[in-house]
Amino acid sequence: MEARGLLKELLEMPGGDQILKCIQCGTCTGSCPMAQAMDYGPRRLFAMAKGGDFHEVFKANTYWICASCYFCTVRCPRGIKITDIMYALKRMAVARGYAPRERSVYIYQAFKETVEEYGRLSEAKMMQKYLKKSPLDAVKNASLGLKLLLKRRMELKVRPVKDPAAFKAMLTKARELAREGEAPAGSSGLCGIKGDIL
Amino acid sequence: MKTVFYPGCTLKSAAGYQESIEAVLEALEISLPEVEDWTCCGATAYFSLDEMAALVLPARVMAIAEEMGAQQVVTPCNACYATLRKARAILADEEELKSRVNQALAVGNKLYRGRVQVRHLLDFFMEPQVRQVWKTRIRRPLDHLSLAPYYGCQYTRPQTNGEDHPERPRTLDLFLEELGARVVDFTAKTYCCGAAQMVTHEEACLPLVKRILLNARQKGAQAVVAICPLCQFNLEVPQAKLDMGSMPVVYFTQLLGLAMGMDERVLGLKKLLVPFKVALHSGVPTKTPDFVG
Repeated sequence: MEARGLLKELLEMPGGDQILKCIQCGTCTGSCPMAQAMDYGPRRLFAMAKGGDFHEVFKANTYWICASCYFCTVRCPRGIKITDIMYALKRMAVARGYAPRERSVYIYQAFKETVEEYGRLSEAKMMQKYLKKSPLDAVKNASLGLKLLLKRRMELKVRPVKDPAAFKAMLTKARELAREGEAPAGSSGLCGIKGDIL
Repeated sequence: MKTVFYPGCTLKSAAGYQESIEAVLEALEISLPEVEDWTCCGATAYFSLDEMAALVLPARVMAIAEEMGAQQVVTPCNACYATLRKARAILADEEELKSRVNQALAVGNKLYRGRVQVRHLLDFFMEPQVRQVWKTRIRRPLDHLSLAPYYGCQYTRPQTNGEDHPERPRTLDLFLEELGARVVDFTAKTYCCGAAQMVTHEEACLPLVKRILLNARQKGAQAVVAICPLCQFNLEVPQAKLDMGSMPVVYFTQLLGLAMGMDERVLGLKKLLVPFKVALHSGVPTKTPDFVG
């Protein structure tokens, strides 16, 4: 059973077992500014994950819609770092080939590609990359882009880091190191969500 | 204490944030050297896609700050601030992870030791010694202005500066009071503006922005004050779509500049899409736009 395997995998990641602490109080979903745009709120998503229904968990747009406001994290009465679990779910979903047709994935990828290329973000370059994937947004944002240009709030020129090749080599090395085996002993694995079960 | 400045990628296109920071620091003769050859912090995008790189990026910035002999790196962006602090906390906790991050940094001859502190520019201005410097330079107190201090999310969440409450911070309130302004009791001060989701899920984010702006207006504010480029952008730029009149959104450093008697052009106020005129008519009662109910 793939689903059971995924649950096991999440629980075995140090920190991943945090979801077992969830008491389904719903403070997270009640605090979430983006909940109305989500297929399921975080409370329900955790219930599904605990039940092993990972196919449904990964199909949901929930974790991609998270805006990282951390309201759920600071309010959770069980101290679960919910936002960081959302990040972990995003990474797990991408690694497993669940590539939702979700615009948030496109914008993150456009962001990442821009930074890999120049070392810094250029809003204009990022939007170019993003709009290729989501062309309808171009029409919607054309007049806004012009307004920002006129106010000199959008720069078309990119100001790259001094040595983009060396910067890229550093990120390539980082990726190699990430692949080199599992999370090291004593590491949180899912970074930032280490926490003991109460 | 040596302090260096990490501008982050979005500062250059922010509406007068960079201009006002530079102008104010220059007038106060405070030197904040920029982190040399800085790179992106990775923000939320990298933590979403690529965990190791998400740690290497902020570590590189902090490593350079350490190389420059700094004990403190200051940033004007909430996302940079939260990302740097998050990486710092993880790497302080995880020796093995830190050594792997350093293996990647070694490719660019960098070494992250974990010795530099990360501060938000607002907190830097509120440090007692720095505060003393600008307090004595206030020429035109903003006593004709009612302001709504907007902190956004990542200034206090997931971690606060140690003094503020994660949902009801006070630091910006105190800063604005020092400038002589009336600070409104702003319920929405740390509500979420939608952040990067404004691009991808505008329909879900517009109501968030409207709620924040209406709260500011209902409390009698003439402007909202921002401390982060993305917050300012999200609160100001979509206003034309909100059917609620206009509410200027300015940076705290622009207000400091005005209080110090500086010209609006120097402070980049002309870059705002929603004009901030009230500041220029000191003492004159100003009319707020009619409430659309």
